[in-house]
Amino acid sequence: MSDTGTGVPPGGLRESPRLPDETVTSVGNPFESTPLPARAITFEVQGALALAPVINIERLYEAVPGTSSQMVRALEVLKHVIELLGEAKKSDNPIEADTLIQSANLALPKLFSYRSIGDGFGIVINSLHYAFTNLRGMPLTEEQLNVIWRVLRELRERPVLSVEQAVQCAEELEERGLEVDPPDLGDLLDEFSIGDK
Amino acid sequence: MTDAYVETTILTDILLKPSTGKQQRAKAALARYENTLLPVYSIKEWKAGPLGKFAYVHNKLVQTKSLADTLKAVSALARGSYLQATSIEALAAAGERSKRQPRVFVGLGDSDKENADSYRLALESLIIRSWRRRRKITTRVVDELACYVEVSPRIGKDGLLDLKPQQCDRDQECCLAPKLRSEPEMLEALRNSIPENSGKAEHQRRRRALKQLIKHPRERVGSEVCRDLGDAIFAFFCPKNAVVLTTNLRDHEPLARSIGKEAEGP
Repeated sequence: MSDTGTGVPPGGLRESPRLPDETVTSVGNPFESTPLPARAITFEVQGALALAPVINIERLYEAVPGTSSQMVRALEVLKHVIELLGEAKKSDNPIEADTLIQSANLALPKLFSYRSIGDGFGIVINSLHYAFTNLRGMPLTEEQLNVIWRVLRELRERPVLSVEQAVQCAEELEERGLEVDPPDLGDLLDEFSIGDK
Repeated sequence: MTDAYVETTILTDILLKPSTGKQQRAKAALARYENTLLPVYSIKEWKAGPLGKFAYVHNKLVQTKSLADTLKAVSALARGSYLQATSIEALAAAGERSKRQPRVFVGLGDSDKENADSYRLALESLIIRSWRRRRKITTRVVDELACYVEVSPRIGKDGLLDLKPQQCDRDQECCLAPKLRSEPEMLEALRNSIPENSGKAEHQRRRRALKQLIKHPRERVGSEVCRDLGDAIFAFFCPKNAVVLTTNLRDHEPLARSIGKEAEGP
Protein backbone atom coordinates (compact mmCIF):
# COMPACT_ATOMS: atom_id res chain seq x y z
CA MET A 1 0.00 0.00 0.00
CA SER A 2 1.32 3.40 -0.87
CA ASP A 3 1.66 5.93 1.83
CA THR A 4 1.46 8.75 -0.68
CA GLY A 5 -0.81 11.42 0.55
CA THR A 6 -1.18 10.00 4.02
CA GLY A 7 1.62 12.00 5.50
CA VAL A 8 3.28 8.81 6.65
CA PRO A 9 7.06 8.83 6.28
CA PRO A 10 8.45 5.54 4.90
CA GLY A 11 9.08 2.95 7.58
CA GLY A 12 7.88 5.31 10.23
CA LEU A 13 5.18 3.11 11.66
CA ARG A 14 7.77 0.65 12.84
CA GLU A 15 9.11 3.35 15.13
CA SER A 16 7.76 3.86 18.58
CA PRO A 17 5.60 6.89 19.08
CA ARG A 18 7.39 9.73 20.72
CA LEU A 19 6.95 10.20 24.38
CA PRO A 20 5.65 13.14 26.36
CA ASP A 21 8.56 15.50 26.05
CA GLU A 22 7.25 16.12 22.57
CA THR A 23 4.31 18.37 22.37
CA VAL A 24 3.03 18.47 18.84
CA THR A 25 0.06 16.46 17.69
CA SER A 26 -0.78 16.12 14.06
CA VAL A 27 -3.68 14.04 12.87
CA GLY A 28 -1.93 13.55 9.57
CA ASN A 29 1.22 12.12 11.09
CA PRO A 30 1.01 8.89 13.05
CA PHE A 31 4.59 9.15 14.31
CA GLU A 32 3.94 12.05 16.51
CA SER A 33 1.66 11.70 19.40
CA THR A 34 0.23 13.89 22.04
CA PRO A 35 1.80 13.55 25.44
CA LEU A 36 -0.56 12.05 27.92
CA PRO A 37 -1.63 14.89 30.17
CA ALA A 38 -1.52 14.39 33.88
CA ARG A 39 -5.12 14.50 35.08
CA ALA A 40 -6.62 14.41 38.46
CA ILE A 41 -8.50 11.36 39.67
CA THR A 42 -12.14 11.86 38.79
CA PHE A 43 -15.20 10.61 40.60
CA GLU A 44 -17.98 9.19 38.50
CA VAL A 45 -21.21 7.50 39.45
CA GLN A 46 -21.35 4.15 37.67
CA GLY A 47 -23.67 1.40 38.91
CA ALA A 48 -22.12 -0.88 41.50
CA LEU A 49 -19.06 1.32 41.53
CA ALA A 50 -21.05 4.39 42.51
CA LEU A 51 -18.92 6.94 44.31
CA ALA A 52 -15.81 4.83 43.86
CA PRO A 53 -12.93 6.80 42.42
CA VAL A 54 -12.53 6.13 38.72
CA ILE A 55 -8.97 6.60 37.63
CA ASN A 56 -8.67 7.89 34.12
CA ILE A 57 -6.75 5.49 31.87
CA GLU A 58 -4.31 8.26 30.96
CA ARG A 59 -3.61 8.88 34.63
CA LEU A 60 -3.33 5.18 35.36
CA TYR A 61 -0.74 4.68 32.67
CA GLU A 62 0.75 8.12 32.74
CA ALA A 63 3.65 8.32 30.36
CA VAL A 64 6.96 9.17 31.88
CA PRO A 65 9.74 10.45 29.62
CA GLY A 66 11.97 7.55 28.64
CA THR A 67 9.46 4.90 29.65
CA SER A 68 9.30 1.78 27.53
CA SER A 69 6.02 0.42 28.79
CA GLN A 70 4.09 -1.41 26.06
CA MET A 71 0.87 -0.17 27.62
CA VAL A 72 1.88 3.48 27.46
CA ARG A 73 2.98 3.15 23.85
CA ALA A 74 -0.15 1.24 22.90
CA LEU A 75 -2.34 3.90 24.48
CA GLU A 76 -0.50 6.61 22.58
CA VAL A 77 -0.91 4.88 19.23
CA LEU A 78 -4.54 4.12 20.01
CA LYS A 79 -5.12 7.76 20.86
CA HIS A 80 -3.66 8.79 17.55
CA VAL A 81 -5.70 6.25 15.59
CA ILE A 82 -8.89 7.36 17.35
CA GLU A 83 -8.07 10.97 16.45
CA LEU A 84 -7.56 9.99 12.82
CA LEU A 85 -10.90 8.20 12.72
CA GLY A 86 -12.56 11.08 14.57
CA GLU A 87 -11.31 13.47 11.89
CA ALA A 88 -12.55 11.06 9.20
CA LYS A 89 -15.97 11.02 10.86
CA LYS A 90 -16.13 14.81 10.77
CA SER A 91 -14.85 15.17 7.23
CA ASP A 92 -17.33 15.85 4.45
CA ASN A 93 -14.68 15.10 1.84
CA PRO A 94 -14.80 11.33 1.09
CA ILE A 95 -11.23 11.23 -0.27
CA GLU A 96 -9.85 12.99 2.78
CA ALA A 97 -11.87 10.70 5.06
CA ASP A 98 -10.65 7.56 3.33
CA THR A 99 -7.06 8.80 3.45
CA LEU A 100 -7.36 9.31 7.21
CA ILE A 101 -8.84 5.82 7.57
CA GLN A 102 -5.96 4.37 5.55
CA SER A 103 -3.53 6.03 7.94
CA ALA A 104 -5.37 4.48 10.86
CA ASN A 105 -5.23 1.08 9.13
CA LEU A 106 -1.46 1.44 8.71
CA ALA A 107 -1.08 1.70 12.47
CA LEU A 108 -2.63 -1.74 13.10
CA PRO A 109 0.65 -3.71 12.73
CA LYS A 110 2.21 -1.40 15.31
CA LEU A 111 -0.72 -1.95 17.66
CA PHE A 112 -0.53 -5.72 17.07
CA SER A 113 3.07 -5.64 18.25
CA TYR A 114 1.67 -4.68 21.68
CA ARG A 115 -0.50 -7.82 21.88
CA SER A 116 1.40 -8.98 24.96
CA ILE A 117 -1.03 -6.65 26.76
CA GLY A 118 -3.47 -9.53 26.41
CA ASP A 119 -5.24 -11.84 23.98
CA GLY A 120 -8.34 -9.65 24.19
CA PHE A 121 -6.35 -6.67 22.92
CA GLY A 122 -4.81 -8.86 20.20
CA ILE A 123 -8.19 -10.17 19.07
CA VAL A 124 -9.65 -6.68 18.63
CA ILE A 125 -6.67 -5.42 16.61
CA ASN A 126 -6.54 -8.66 14.61
CA SER A 127 -10.28 -8.44 13.84
CA LEU A 128 -9.85 -4.89 12.57
CA HIS A 129 -6.93 -5.98 10.39
CA TYR A 130 -8.99 -8.73 8.73
CA ALA A 131 -11.96 -6.37 8.41
CA PHE A 132 -9.80 -3.96 6.38
CA THR A 133 -8.19 -6.82 4.43
CA ASN A 134 -11.57 -8.25 3.45
CA LEU A 135 -12.79 -4.83 2.31
CA ARG A 136 -10.04 -4.93 -0.35
CA GLY A 137 -9.66 -1.19 -0.34
CA MET A 138 -13.36 -0.37 -0.42
CA PRO A 139 -14.13 2.68 1.75
CA LEU A 140 -15.92 2.20 5.05
CA THR A 141 -19.56 3.13 5.35
CA GLU A 142 -20.47 5.73 7.94
CA GLU A 143 -21.84 3.00 10.21
CA GLN A 144 -18.67 0.95 9.87
CA LEU A 145 -16.49 3.94 10.62
CA ASN A 146 -18.58 4.71 13.70
CA VAL A 147 -18.35 1.19 15.07
CA ILE A 148 -14.58 0.96 14.52
CA TRP A 149 -14.09 4.33 16.20
CA ARG A 150 -16.25 3.25 19.14
CA VAL A 151 -14.56 -0.15 19.51
CA LEU A 152 -11.12 1.48 19.55
CA ARG A 153 -12.26 4.06 22.10
CA GLU A 154 -13.49 1.22 24.30
CA LEU A 155 -10.22 -0.60 23.78
CA ARG A 156 -8.30 2.45 24.89
CA GLU A 157 -10.47 2.73 28.00
CA ARG A 158 -10.08 -0.98 28.78
CA PRO A 159 -7.00 -2.31 26.99
CA VAL A 160 -6.79 -5.34 29.26
CA LEU A 161 -10.14 -6.73 28.17
CA SER A 162 -11.04 -10.40 28.33
CA VAL A 163 -11.22 -12.69 25.32
CA GLU A 164 -15.00 -12.79 25.74
CA GLN A 165 -15.22 -8.99 25.67
CA ALA A 166 -12.96 -8.89 22.62
CA VAL A 167 -15.14 -11.43 20.84
CA GLN A 168 -18.13 -9.19 21.58
CA CYS A 169 -16.28 -6.34 19.86
CA ALA A 170 -15.66 -8.60 16.86
CA GLU A 171 -19.37 -9.42 16.78
CA GLU A 172 -20.23 -5.71 16.80
CA LEU A 173 -17.96 -5.21 13.80
CA GLU A 174 -19.65 -8.13 12.03
CA GLU A 175 -23.08 -6.67 12.72
CA ARG A 176 -22.03 -3.69 10.58
CA GLY A 177 -21.06 -5.95 7.69
CA LEU A 178 -17.34 -6.14 8.42
CA GLU A 179 -15.80 -9.58 7.88
CA VAL A 180 -13.35 -10.15 10.70
CA ASP A 181 -11.92 -13.58 9.82
CA PRO A 182 -8.95 -14.49 7.63
CA PRO A 183 -10.30 -15.15 4.13
CA ASP A 184 -8.52 -18.51 3.83
CA LEU A 185 -9.82 -20.27 6.96
CA GLY A 186 -12.62 -22.04 5.07
CA ASP A 187 -10.11 -23.51 2.62
CA LEU A 188 -7.99 -24.71 5.51
CA LEU A 189 -10.91 -26.75 6.84
CA ASP A 190 -11.77 -28.19 3.43
CA GLU A 191 -8.27 -29.48 2.90
CA PHE A 192 -7.71 -30.73 6.42
CA SER A 193 -9.34 -34.13 6.00
CA ILE A 194 -7.56 -35.97 8.79
CA GLY A 195 -10.03 -37.63 11.12
CA ASP A 196 -12.88 -37.51 8.65
CA LYS A 197 -15.33 -40.32 8.84
CA MET B 1 -41.37 -29.74 1.71
CA THR B 2 -41.62 -26.80 4.05
CA ASP B 3 -39.03 -27.89 6.60
CA ALA B 4 -35.31 -28.63 6.53
CA TYR B 5 -33.56 -30.96 8.94
CA VAL B 6 -30.10 -29.42 9.05
CA GLU B 7 -27.12 -31.76 8.81
CA THR B 8 -23.59 -31.14 10.12
CA THR B 9 -22.07 -30.03 6.80
CA ILE B 10 -24.51 -27.12 6.51
CA LEU B 11 -23.83 -26.07 10.10
CA THR B 12 -20.11 -26.20 9.33
CA ASP B 13 -20.35 -24.14 6.16
CA ILE B 14 -22.33 -21.46 7.95
CA LEU B 15 -20.24 -21.28 11.10
CA LEU B 16 -16.70 -22.08 10.04
CA LYS B 17 -16.37 -20.90 6.45
CA PRO B 18 -16.81 -17.17 6.86
CA SER B 19 -17.08 -14.98 3.79
CA THR B 20 -17.04 -17.88 1.34
CA GLY B 21 -19.40 -19.00 -1.39
CA LYS B 22 -20.15 -22.11 0.66
CA GLN B 23 -21.37 -20.00 3.55
CA GLN B 24 -23.55 -17.91 1.24
CA ARG B 25 -25.05 -21.01 -0.41
CA ALA B 26 -25.78 -22.63 2.94
CA LYS B 27 -27.47 -19.48 4.23
CA ALA B 28 -29.51 -19.16 1.04
CA ALA B 29 -30.56 -22.80 1.38
CA LEU B 30 -31.89 -22.22 4.90
CA ALA B 31 -33.91 -19.28 3.60
CA ARG B 32 -35.80 -21.62 1.22
CA TYR B 33 -37.66 -23.32 4.06
CA GLU B 34 -40.36 -22.13 6.38
CA ASN B 35 -38.91 -24.06 9.32
CA THR B 36 -35.29 -25.05 9.75
CA LEU B 37 -34.61 -27.67 12.38
CA LEU B 38 -31.18 -28.23 13.86
CA PRO B 39 -30.83 -31.56 15.68
CA VAL B 40 -28.36 -31.51 18.57
CA TYR B 41 -26.71 -34.52 16.90
CA SER B 42 -25.45 -32.02 14.27
CA ILE B 43 -23.93 -29.87 17.00
CA LYS B 44 -22.27 -32.96 18.52
CA GLU B 45 -20.77 -34.02 15.17
CA TRP B 46 -19.71 -30.45 14.38
CA LYS B 47 -17.90 -30.06 17.70
CA ALA B 48 -16.19 -33.44 17.42
CA GLY B 49 -15.23 -32.89 13.77
CA PRO B 50 -14.74 -29.50 12.10
CA LEU B 51 -14.57 -27.41 15.28
CA GLY B 52 -12.12 -29.94 16.73
CA LYS B 53 -9.89 -29.53 13.67
CA PHE B 54 -9.79 -25.78 14.11
CA ALA B 55 -8.95 -26.24 17.79
CA TYR B 56 -6.18 -28.63 16.75
CA VAL B 57 -4.68 -26.02 14.41
CA HIS B 58 -5.02 -23.38 17.14
CA ASN B 59 -3.20 -25.58 19.62
CA LYS B 60 -0.51 -26.42 17.10
CA LEU B 61 0.07 -22.69 16.62
CA VAL B 62 0.39 -22.28 20.39
CA GLN B 63 2.87 -25.14 20.48
CA THR B 64 5.04 -24.29 17.44
CA LYS B 65 4.66 -20.49 17.46
CA SER B 66 5.14 -20.81 13.71
CA LEU B 67 2.52 -20.59 10.96
CA ALA B 68 4.78 -22.39 8.48
CA ASP B 69 5.50 -25.29 10.85
CA THR B 70 1.83 -25.59 11.80
CA LEU B 71 0.70 -25.74 8.20
CA LYS B 72 3.37 -28.31 7.43
CA ALA B 73 2.16 -30.43 10.35
CA VAL B 74 -1.44 -30.16 9.13
CA SER B 75 -0.34 -31.03 5.62
CA ALA B 76 1.50 -34.11 6.84
CA LEU B 77 -1.64 -35.30 8.62
CA ALA B 78 -4.03 -34.58 5.77
CA ARG B 79 -5.02 -37.62 3.81
CA GLY B 80 -3.19 -38.11 0.54
CA SER B 81 -0.69 -35.39 1.24
CA TYR B 82 2.17 -37.64 0.21
CA LEU B 83 0.69 -38.26 -3.20
CA GLN B 84 -0.64 -34.94 -4.34
CA ALA B 85 -0.09 -31.31 -3.79
CA THR B 86 -2.91 -29.83 -1.81
CA SER B 87 -3.74 -26.24 -1.16
CA ILE B 88 -2.59 -26.81 2.41
CA GLU B 89 0.85 -27.50 1.04
CA ALA B 90 0.58 -24.33 -0.97
CA LEU B 91 -0.32 -22.47 2.19
CA ALA B 92 2.60 -24.09 3.98
CA ALA B 93 4.85 -22.93 1.18
CA ALA B 94 3.41 -19.45 1.53
CA GLY B 95 4.09 -19.63 5.26
CA GLU B 96 7.68 -20.64 4.50
CA ARG B 97 8.02 -17.61 2.27
CA SER B 98 6.62 -15.41 4.98
CA LYS B 99 9.59 -16.41 7.14
CA ARG B 100 11.89 -14.76 4.64
CA GLN B 101 9.67 -12.28 2.91
CA PRO B 102 7.34 -10.00 4.83
CA ARG B 103 3.80 -9.23 3.67
CA VAL B 104 3.22 -12.42 1.71
CA PHE B 105 0.55 -13.65 4.09
CA VAL B 106 -2.55 -11.73 5.14
CA GLY B 107 -1.88 -12.30 8.83
CA LEU B 108 -0.73 -9.34 10.87
CA GLY B 109 2.97 -8.81 11.37
CA ASP B 110 6.17 -9.30 9.44
CA SER B 111 7.49 -12.53 10.87
CA ASP B 112 6.33 -16.13 10.84
CA LYS B 113 5.85 -15.91 14.60
CA GLU B 114 3.63 -12.83 14.31
CA ASN B 115 1.62 -14.49 11.54
CA ALA B 116 1.18 -17.51 13.78
CA ASP B 117 -0.14 -15.29 16.55
CA SER B 118 -2.49 -13.53 14.15
CA TYR B 119 -3.99 -16.84 13.01
CA ARG B 120 -4.10 -18.20 16.56
CA LEU B 121 -6.12 -15.19 17.72
CA ALA B 122 -8.35 -15.37 14.63
CA LEU B 123 -9.10 -19.05 15.30
CA GLU B 124 -9.74 -18.37 18.98
CA SER B 125 -12.20 -15.64 18.07
CA LEU B 126 -13.94 -17.69 15.36
CA ILE B 127 -14.27 -20.78 17.57
CA ILE B 128 -15.87 -18.76 20.37
CA ARG B 129 -18.18 -16.82 18.03
CA SER B 130 -19.26 -19.92 16.16
CA TRP B 131 -20.00 -21.71 19.42
CA ARG B 132 -22.20 -18.82 20.55
CA ARG B 133 -24.09 -18.87 17.25
CA ARG B 134 -24.60 -22.59 16.88
CA ARG B 135 -28.18 -22.54 18.21
CA LYS B 136 -29.14 -19.35 16.42
CA ILE B 137 -28.81 -20.25 12.76
CA THR B 138 -32.08 -22.18 12.45
CA THR B 139 -35.64 -21.44 13.46
CA ARG B 140 -35.55 -24.29 15.99
CA VAL B 141 -33.14 -26.64 17.73
CA VAL B 142 -34.66 -30.12 17.99
CA ASP B 143 -33.96 -33.64 19.23
CA GLU B 144 -32.01 -32.69 22.33
CA LEU B 145 -29.65 -35.42 23.52
CA ALA B 146 -29.99 -36.25 27.20
CA CYS B 147 -26.70 -38.16 27.14
CA TYR B 148 -24.67 -35.31 25.60
CA VAL B 149 -23.65 -32.14 27.40
CA GLU B 150 -22.84 -29.05 25.34
CA VAL B 151 -19.86 -27.63 27.20
CA SER B 152 -18.37 -24.38 25.87
CA PRO B 153 -14.79 -24.39 24.55
CA ARG B 154 -12.32 -23.37 27.23
CA ILE B 155 -8.85 -21.83 27.02
CA GLY B 156 -6.49 -23.30 29.59
CA LYS B 157 -3.69 -21.52 31.41
CA ASP B 158 -1.33 -23.10 28.90
CA GLY B 159 -3.20 -21.26 26.12
CA LEU B 160 -4.57 -24.47 24.63
CA LEU B 161 -8.21 -24.78 23.62
CA ASP B 162 -10.09 -27.60 25.28
CA LEU B 163 -13.26 -28.81 23.56
CA LYS B 164 -14.00 -31.75 25.84
CA PRO B 165 -16.44 -33.43 26.03
CA GLN B 166 -16.80 -34.16 22.32
CA GLN B 167 -18.71 -37.40 22.72
CA CYS B 168 -21.71 -38.60 24.70
CA ASP B 169 -21.49 -39.73 28.29
CA ARG B 170 -19.93 -43.20 28.13
CA ASP B 171 -21.67 -44.32 31.32
CA GLN B 172 -25.14 -43.80 29.90
CA GLU B 173 -26.93 -45.63 27.17
CA CYS B 174 -27.55 -43.54 24.05
CA CYS B 175 -30.80 -41.65 24.61
CA LEU B 176 -31.81 -42.29 20.99
CA ALA B 177 -31.69 -46.08 21.46
CA PRO B 178 -35.37 -46.67 22.42
CA LYS B 179 -36.65 -44.83 19.34
CA LEU B 180 -34.18 -46.59 17.05
CA ARG B 181 -35.14 -50.02 18.42
CA SER B 182 -38.83 -49.33 17.93
CA GLU B 183 -38.43 -49.21 14.13
CA PRO B 184 -36.49 -52.35 13.11
CA GLU B 185 -37.81 -52.25 9.52
CA MET B 186 -36.46 -48.79 9.09
CA LEU B 187 -33.08 -49.86 10.46
CA GLU B 188 -33.05 -52.77 8.03
CA ALA B 189 -33.85 -50.51 5.07
CA LEU B 190 -31.14 -48.08 6.07
CA ARG B 191 -28.61 -50.91 6.35
CA ASN B 192 -29.58 -52.29 2.95
CA SER B 193 -29.02 -48.89 1.36
CA ILE B 194 -25.33 -48.96 2.25
CA PRO B 195 -23.34 -50.99 -0.30
CA GLU B 196 -22.01 -54.14 1.36
CA ASN B 197 -18.75 -53.86 -0.55
CA SER B 198 -18.24 -50.14 0.06
CA GLY B 199 -14.58 -49.26 0.51
CA LYS B 200 -15.38 -46.40 2.88
CA ALA B 201 -14.58 -47.26 6.48
CA GLU B 202 -17.40 -44.95 7.55
CA HIS B 203 -19.91 -47.08 5.63
CA GLN B 204 -18.64 -50.30 7.13
CA ARG B 205 -18.88 -48.87 10.65
CA ARG B 206 -22.44 -47.71 9.95
CA ARG B 207 -23.48 -51.12 8.64
CA ARG B 208 -22.04 -52.77 11.76
CA ALA B 209 -23.81 -50.34 14.09
CA LEU B 210 -27.15 -50.89 12.32
CA LYS B 211 -26.63 -54.65 12.39
CA GLN B 212 -26.05 -54.54 16.13
CA LEU B 213 -29.30 -52.65 16.65
CA ILE B 214 -31.22 -55.06 14.41
CA LYS B 215 -29.76 -58.37 15.61
CA HIS B 216 -29.19 -57.54 19.27
CA PRO B 217 -31.87 -55.02 20.21
CA ARG B 218 -31.40 -55.67 23.92
CA GLU B 219 -27.70 -54.88 23.85
CA ARG B 220 -26.65 -51.59 25.35
CA VAL B 221 -26.15 -48.85 22.74
CA GLY B 222 -23.02 -46.96 23.70
CA SER B 223 -21.50 -43.72 22.48
CA GLU B 224 -19.42 -45.52 19.82
CA VAL B 225 -22.50 -47.06 18.16
CA CYS B 226 -24.26 -43.69 18.29
CA ARG B 227 -21.25 -42.04 16.62
CA ASP B 228 -20.94 -44.79 13.99
CA LEU B 229 -24.60 -44.50 13.01
CA GLY B 230 -23.71 -40.99 11.84
CA ASP B 231 -25.60 -40.07 8.67
CA ALA B 232 -28.25 -42.76 9.33
CA ILE B 233 -29.38 -40.77 12.37
CA PHE B 234 -30.40 -37.86 10.13
CA ALA B 235 -32.49 -40.01 7.76
CA PHE B 236 -34.09 -41.83 10.68
CA PHE B 237 -35.06 -38.78 12.74
CA CYS B 238 -35.85 -36.37 9.90
CA PRO B 239 -39.58 -35.51 10.22
CA LYS B 240 -41.86 -36.66 7.38
CA ASN B 241 -42.56 -33.10 6.22
CA ALA B 242 -38.85 -32.22 6.12
CA VAL B 243 -35.82 -32.93 3.96
CA VAL B 244 -32.31 -33.67 5.17
CA LEU B 245 -30.41 -30.54 4.15
CA THR B 246 -26.79 -31.44 3.49
CA THR B 247 -23.84 -30.80 1.18
CA ASN B 248 -23.07 -34.55 1.29
CA LEU B 249 -25.82 -35.85 -0.96
CA ARG B 250 -23.76 -38.85 -2.02
CA ASP B 251 -24.09 -40.41 1.43
CA HIS B 252 -27.40 -38.94 2.59
CA GLU B 253 -29.56 -39.39 -0.49
CA PRO B 254 -29.55 -43.24 -0.56
CA LEU B 255 -30.18 -43.40 3.18
CA ALA B 256 -33.12 -40.99 3.06
CA ARG B 257 -34.61 -42.56 -0.07
CA SER B 258 -34.50 -46.04 1.46
CA ILE B 259 -37.09 -45.01 4.05
CA GLY B 260 -39.23 -42.75 1.85
CA LYS B 261 -37.56 -39.49 2.77
CA GLU B 262 -35.56 -36.91 0.82
CA ALA B 263 -32.20 -35.23 1.04
CA GLU B 264 -31.47 -31.91 -0.64
CA GLY B 265 -28.34 -29.90 -1.28
CA PRO B 266 -27.95 -26.18 -0.69
